[in-house]
Amino acid sequence: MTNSSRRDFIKHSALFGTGLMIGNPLSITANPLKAADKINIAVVGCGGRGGGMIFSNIPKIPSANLVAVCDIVESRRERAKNNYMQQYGGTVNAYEDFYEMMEKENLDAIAMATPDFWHMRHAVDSLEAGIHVYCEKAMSNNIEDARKMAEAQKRTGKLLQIGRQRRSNDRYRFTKEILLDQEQMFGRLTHAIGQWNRSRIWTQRPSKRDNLDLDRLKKYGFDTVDQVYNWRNYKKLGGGVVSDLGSHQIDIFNWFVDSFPKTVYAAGNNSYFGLEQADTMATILEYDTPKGPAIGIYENISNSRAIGVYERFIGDDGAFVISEGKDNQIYRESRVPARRWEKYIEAGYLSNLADMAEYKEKESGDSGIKETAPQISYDIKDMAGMSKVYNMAAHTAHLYNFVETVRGEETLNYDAVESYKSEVCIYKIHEAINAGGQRIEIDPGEYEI
Amino acid sequence: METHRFEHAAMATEFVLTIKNEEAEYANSVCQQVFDLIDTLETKLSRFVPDSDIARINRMKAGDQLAVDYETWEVIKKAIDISALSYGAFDIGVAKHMGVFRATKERILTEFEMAKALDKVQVDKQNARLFVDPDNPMVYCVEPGMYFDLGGIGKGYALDQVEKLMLELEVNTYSLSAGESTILFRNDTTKLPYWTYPIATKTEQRRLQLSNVTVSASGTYFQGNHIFDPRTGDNDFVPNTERVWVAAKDSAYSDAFSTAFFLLSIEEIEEIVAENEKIIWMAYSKDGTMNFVPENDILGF
Repeated sequence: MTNSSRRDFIKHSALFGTGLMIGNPLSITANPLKAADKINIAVVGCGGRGGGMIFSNIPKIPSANLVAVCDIVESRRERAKNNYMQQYGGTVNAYEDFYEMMEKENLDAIAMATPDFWHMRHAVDSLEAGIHVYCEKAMSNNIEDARKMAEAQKRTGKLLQIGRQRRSNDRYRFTKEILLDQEQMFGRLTHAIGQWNRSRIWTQRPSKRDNLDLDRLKKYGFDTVDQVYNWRNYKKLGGGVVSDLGSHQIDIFNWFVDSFPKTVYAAGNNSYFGLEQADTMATILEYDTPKGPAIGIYENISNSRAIGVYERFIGDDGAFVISEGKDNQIYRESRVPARRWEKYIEAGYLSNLADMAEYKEKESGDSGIKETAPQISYDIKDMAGMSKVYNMAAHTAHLYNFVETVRGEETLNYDAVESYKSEVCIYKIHEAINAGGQRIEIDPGEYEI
Repeated sequence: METHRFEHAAMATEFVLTIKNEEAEYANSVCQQVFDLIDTLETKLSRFVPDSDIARINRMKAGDQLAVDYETWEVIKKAIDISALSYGAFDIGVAKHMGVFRATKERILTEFEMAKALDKVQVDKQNARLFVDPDNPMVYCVEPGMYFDLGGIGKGYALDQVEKLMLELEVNTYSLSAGESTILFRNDTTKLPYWTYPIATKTEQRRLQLSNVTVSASGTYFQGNHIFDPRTGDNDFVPNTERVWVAAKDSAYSDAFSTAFFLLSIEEIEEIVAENEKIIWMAYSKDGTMNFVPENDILGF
């Protein structure tokens, strides 16, 4: 938009007094989204998650300079390169071969969104070459490779952040740091319950523009075209629903109850879709937490989206539902008087009455005799008291945390050693499922690197 | 010609995708990508998702600036454009008003409190100042008090994004309905000359022949006779028509203008349709009679 047409537009909009205008306000001049020293980053894998990194996350990270993309599917990498340059400018090179990219580009960091079975080799080789790595979860499709990745991080001293993005979600961090640890608001957590339900298993076909050469694909570990697009459904390439979905949420169980399971029960099967990987599973996890025993209950269903995706935590003073979607609510146990939680409202931690309290004539209960008042629940309001609020979508915040750590400005929210502990938990669930629902005990030493 | 039909719940409604002229397996793969795209857009554009761009804009305080997704930026710019073109009848800055209505329905506020709340919310909105950078996906807050709800444009914008995806996937003949209130029709005219779809008033029904167009509707049949007017901040506006339909090349425009036209006079609507090349035609129902602007008898039968 030229300056004159922009002025016209502002004038035009302002005529209607909307208060919403195209333009830069004179009173805000400093753009915080500028970084003097940028790091050169490449994205490997330009499918769904890689596309998110390229188009949603990196453009909001001023200190990240996207210099290259890599994908074995030509149309995907070319589309990523061209669309990025069209939307955000700069020069981005596209590669089919990961190692050619490593050699030709002057990279500080690589973000990996490739199938799980490639993670270990690419991550370890990058770390050994002095390049920091952000790797999508799961760390791998087997625990041995996950361990090699965590060991490589320790050995090289380079950074390896794993993509369980809830760890950088402001609301999850606020819940952990302030509500759980600082305020002990929910008392003793006794139960963690979660689910990720969806109505289908991803079975994508190549688009008409994807011209694939099977002989070439074999070089990259794929036996069929289907494996390229639907690798999650194959045991030798991915980890199935527990790794893909469950690991995000079971990791939050572990984080919020401050411990890792001592036993795991699990059952699962592939009866609905008949693919290699289980399409449905349920697990029970037993914890000895610092405050006492707790139970985790988790399920994945792939034939129904009913009641969606969330984590739910029950304590003796209160409970909460938390998710990356619409389901988020905090409940006070009736034995805890309302006045005890008023301090959380005054501190700006919580709102109640759907954030409409300012419009009440008096406090709830003094508005006159009328229809039955609703039950009171609470929402997170301002994330007051936090060491840092990213104010970014979790996927962006997690990558931002990684990039800023590369620059020496932060420390990783979720490195490979921490991630490995939840990976152990996931593979024990696999073991229990494969053993036909056995109860598996986990030695605390197994969580350590 | 084989027809493949898929349904998906998103954006508080049902999306129905109909694909023609494609193999079943490919159509199934396409539908997954389409619905995945719509779900992704919802996580960015819904004010009810606390991590969405829109929810974060709604939490901005004076002096804050926020980087948003390209799509969020694009849809807000379109909303500003349509707001200006519709004399303020279309307005995305009404989330707090909607919250007051909702709280009253849920018995959190009394009617007395609702009336006072609406007055305050409207004053806050009039004093608010939000700026959208024309060159970069950034939003600035000088004075808070305006809160976004993309309910009147988000579904239409989602259809525009699906259209781009379909071009990449080389799917040419399909329709996509967002809760039946906005429907995108695309057709390879050599294979399918037009889609046939009915629109109806209380007394008459017409079957339209629709080719490469999006049609949106707004009406009182499902939301009652008194509707919210963002220009006044009250929900006592009695519309001139029972239902309006807007046909446009751009789905966001058809969606948003169908909301705006419901609040405008016929003269104002005729002027906007005559001046805006993106609007192909509009129709309205008044006293049960269907009228077209511009008048046109060749649309259907």
